[in-house]
Amino acid sequence: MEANKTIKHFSGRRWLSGQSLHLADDYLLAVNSGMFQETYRRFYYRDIQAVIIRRTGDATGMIVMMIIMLVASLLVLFSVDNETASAVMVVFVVGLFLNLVRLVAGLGSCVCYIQTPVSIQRLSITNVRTARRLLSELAPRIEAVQGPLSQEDLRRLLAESLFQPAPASAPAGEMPQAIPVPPAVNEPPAGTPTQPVPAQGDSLIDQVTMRHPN
Amino acid sequence: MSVTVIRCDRCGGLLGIGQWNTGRFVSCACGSKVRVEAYPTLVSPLQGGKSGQDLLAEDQASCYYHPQKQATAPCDVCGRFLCDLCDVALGKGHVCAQCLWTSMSQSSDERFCVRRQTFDSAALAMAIIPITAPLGLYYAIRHWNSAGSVLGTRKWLFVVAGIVSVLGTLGWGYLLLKVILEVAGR
Repeated sequence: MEANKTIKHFSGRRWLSGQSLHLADDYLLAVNSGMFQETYRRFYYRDIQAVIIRRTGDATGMIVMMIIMLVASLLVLFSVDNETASAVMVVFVVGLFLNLVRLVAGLGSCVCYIQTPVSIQRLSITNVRTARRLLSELAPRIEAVQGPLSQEDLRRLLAESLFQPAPASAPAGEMPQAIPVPPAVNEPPAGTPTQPVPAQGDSLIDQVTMRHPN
Repeated sequence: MSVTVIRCDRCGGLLGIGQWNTGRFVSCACGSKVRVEAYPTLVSPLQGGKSGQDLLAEDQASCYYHPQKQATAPCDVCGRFLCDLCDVALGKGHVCAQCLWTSMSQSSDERFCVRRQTFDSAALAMAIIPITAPLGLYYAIRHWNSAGSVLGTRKWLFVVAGIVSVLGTLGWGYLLLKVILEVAGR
């Protein structure tokens, strides 16, 4: 077996905690970093069924909050006379600004899942831009192993899911038998007494008459 | 074709085939914007396990674990011949179940290990904590060549840990000596 000589870093950092993603030759490697150990989960390209991304919309609130904080910090910065306080505020404002740029450039937040035949695993990707980048990186690798899933295949699947398939034995151009013939009901054996169903109105009187004819 | 379903993680609702591979975000029944990229494995039937074929001739290679079965591939780790039943296909390679289990439990092979200790960050953490600072230096030297993370050991962290450890130890030693001398001077 060829070892994965190239494991390309994709996203995330390997510090005290968190998850990072790496692209290997034949699998996507998710590394969960703990304090002193790492756990690995490999998603082989041939097993990946789907990548699901859902926008969470949390970024809008964060962006608004960042802008408010940035404006407030700028006001404080311009009103402070002390040099040390100004320096601290400049660092703070720059940090806020960079975070704001990161949020805006990320084009919104999201959650990202990867589905395999045996599991659905959440990935550490939290912004849409990175998720799109993941898709663009993963797609050629997966298609190289699995082949493409064409729109034609999807249309056929959609048709199969909407309509029942016609019987395979029916020749082309012939209408399938719409109403199936019900199975024949067995005739009761001869001599079996049959009781007519009484009419709704006088049924009780009739039954009493039959039991007590005199 | 058998199709596995895809569900919205928020509401659990099914995401229909019409919502797959559109290249953009589409609305789920719960109102969430979802993008689904599906791949052929989703719509192809799962391949069942193979049982292996019986030997047809005396001179055919047989499986190490099942002598009556035909060998189809050698194990990439131990080299034993395997039949279809014993062959575990991982990526592009083939291993036997025993080698896979051994590699996973001992973390000896990077391709199969599921957990590894990160000696570099451990050494740095030890170096930073004052009491364990000397241990940080020991740990950095001891595990310089140990198999750490699958992604590669960060040697520079060992160097930083060593420097911090030495400085920390000297600092604590100096303070301790000063205290001892002060106590002795009284």
